[in-house]
Amino acid sequence: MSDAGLDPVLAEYEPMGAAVLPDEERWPLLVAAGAERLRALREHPAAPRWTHACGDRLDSGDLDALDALAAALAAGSGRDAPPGGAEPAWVGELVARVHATAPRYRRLVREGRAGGPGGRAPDRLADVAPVARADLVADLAGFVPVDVPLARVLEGTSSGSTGAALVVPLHPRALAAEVVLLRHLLEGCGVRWEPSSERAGLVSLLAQPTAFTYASVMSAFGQAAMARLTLHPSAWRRPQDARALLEALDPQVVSTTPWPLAQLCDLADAGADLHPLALVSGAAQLPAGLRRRATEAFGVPVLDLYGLRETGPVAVCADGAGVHVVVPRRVHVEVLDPSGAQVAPGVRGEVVVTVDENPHLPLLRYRTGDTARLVRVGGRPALAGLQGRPAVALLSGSGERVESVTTTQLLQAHGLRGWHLHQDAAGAVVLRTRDGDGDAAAARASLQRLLGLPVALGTLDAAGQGPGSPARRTTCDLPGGAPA
Amino acid sequence: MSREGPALAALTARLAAAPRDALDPGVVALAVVDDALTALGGPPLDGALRRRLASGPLGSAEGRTGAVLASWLVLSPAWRAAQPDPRAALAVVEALAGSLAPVLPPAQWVGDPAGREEAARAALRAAGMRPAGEDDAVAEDRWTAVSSALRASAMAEVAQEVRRAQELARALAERRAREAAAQYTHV
Repeated sequence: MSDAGLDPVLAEYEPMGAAVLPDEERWPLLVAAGAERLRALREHPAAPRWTHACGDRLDSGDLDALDALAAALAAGSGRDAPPGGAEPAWVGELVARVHATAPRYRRLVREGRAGGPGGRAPDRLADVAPVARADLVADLAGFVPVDVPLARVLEGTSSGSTGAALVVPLHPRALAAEVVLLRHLLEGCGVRWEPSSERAGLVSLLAQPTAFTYASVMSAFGQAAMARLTLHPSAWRRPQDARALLEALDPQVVSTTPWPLAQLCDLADAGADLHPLALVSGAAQLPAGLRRRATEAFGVPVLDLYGLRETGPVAVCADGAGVHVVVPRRVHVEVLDPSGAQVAPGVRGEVVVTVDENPHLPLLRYRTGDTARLVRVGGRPALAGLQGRPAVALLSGSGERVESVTTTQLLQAHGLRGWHLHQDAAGAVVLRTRDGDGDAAAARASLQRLLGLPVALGTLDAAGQGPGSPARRTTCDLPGGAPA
Repeated sequence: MSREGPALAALTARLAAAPRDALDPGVVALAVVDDALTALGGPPLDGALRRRLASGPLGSAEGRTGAVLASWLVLSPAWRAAQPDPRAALAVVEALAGSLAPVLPPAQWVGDPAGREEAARAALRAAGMRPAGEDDAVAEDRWTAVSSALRASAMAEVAQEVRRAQELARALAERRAREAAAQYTHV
């Protein structure tokens, strides 16, 4: 960044400003060995300036449930989509439950505007009108079932690629279930991922300057160490510390996104002593070239995990063949045309997700804004040619790559809901926004500070509107605008 | 699918013609119900049923008056011609006394045209019937339009949803929620 200071609009990232709980509430199940791992990680000589503290909040009931989930996945019992393209049995039950418990849908029933005959609650998913991120932003409470206790709700945020920043109500158990899912997916790649007392179980790796970083342990994974790190130099006390800490942790799994994955490959090229069992990439499309590079650099499986914070993981591409197979969760994927009708099998359309994993946010027909063709792989539903969020970075005035996640943080903090931020082949930057949406002038000033470049303002035309939500696009015509 | 019942007008007229005594809280409702069911050919109320009615639908003054009016209704010639089954009559007594009376005072079943229509439609629904000349969809729409129970239930739902939205906003704003929990993937 051209200016090392934190933009005032990003005050929520003030170091440790959001960390308020005692450790016993962060990790209710913490034992001595886990506590020692945590202390060693926090106080490691090469540790970054941690900006946050995060536990897993799991209790013993959660552990039992997660064990049961792991057993169910191992047995293949009931979590895979049914063969032949049929709708999973749980979908009909979810349609009924959501219409009885989620305020948005109860309202539709009361007012005779629901999708069933005569405006009543529908019996089948096909009669449910799709929703988009803008609907969640406008009325989050409308989607949260009234009968689910809120005592353990956690605030998650999603920047996403379409629509406004969104608060997502999360549940600790649903978050921890992602580790169970990853273990299952890796097992499918021939990788046994077991807790180690010597190595970190997982490192969540970023590259942007403004990021929550924390040391943690995973109660549902042998209390193995876990860390969220950013490779951006501003996060570290000394330039060599990032590599030194990664080598000391030698994480079994690195969960990351395309830009930091490219930097991790740079570290491997530079001889870093790292031995991951697998790499997991998410948040943005994984370019094929980068995937090959990572596979060759580490010689391990690279999972390209597709999903949204609102839905959790949806599909995974484990072999680089470009087809994302729907993961064994209670997630049902359809591909719809702009009118909301299902396209014929194999025809490109918008990916629309129905999911029942997060008790605080069951979703019926949630538009992702991403497109793909629905196909079947080994009898299971899969997304071919998935076009989601491209991994993009702009070039700052000082020659530094600035990931779109960083510009997105700034723009949404200024209240913008839709935009197109573009850098042309000559390096000129223009921010196009919608009239009356957020504070475009202040956003421009923040961008200029971040990039060290002049930023022109423009108006977003109708073509910049996505289905149901205004698009949030960042594009760059300069060479190196995508990770490789 | 319901079966076709008597004309709505016949039932509302019957309610409008209810004797003033029917609204007298001193009437022994259980005895009136017992008389009605036996008049329709049913057995006298046994002990268990008496206890269930007394502690349930007939446990309030409104419920008892509602039961008396329901008995008056099911003894009408139009009703008996369409549905003479005493079990259906018992269902009507329970529905009107237990579900309608708490949300719509029985006096309105007699004195108010809208109340008469609602009571008559509630009785038909309880017996699995629709008014003569209406199909199921029309009957359902008109019931939705007149039902105090639905309105009360909708108001209760709305109140619950308002409370819940406030509770969610408070819970998410709490610092313990904002600290969040570790996230393992980048979806």
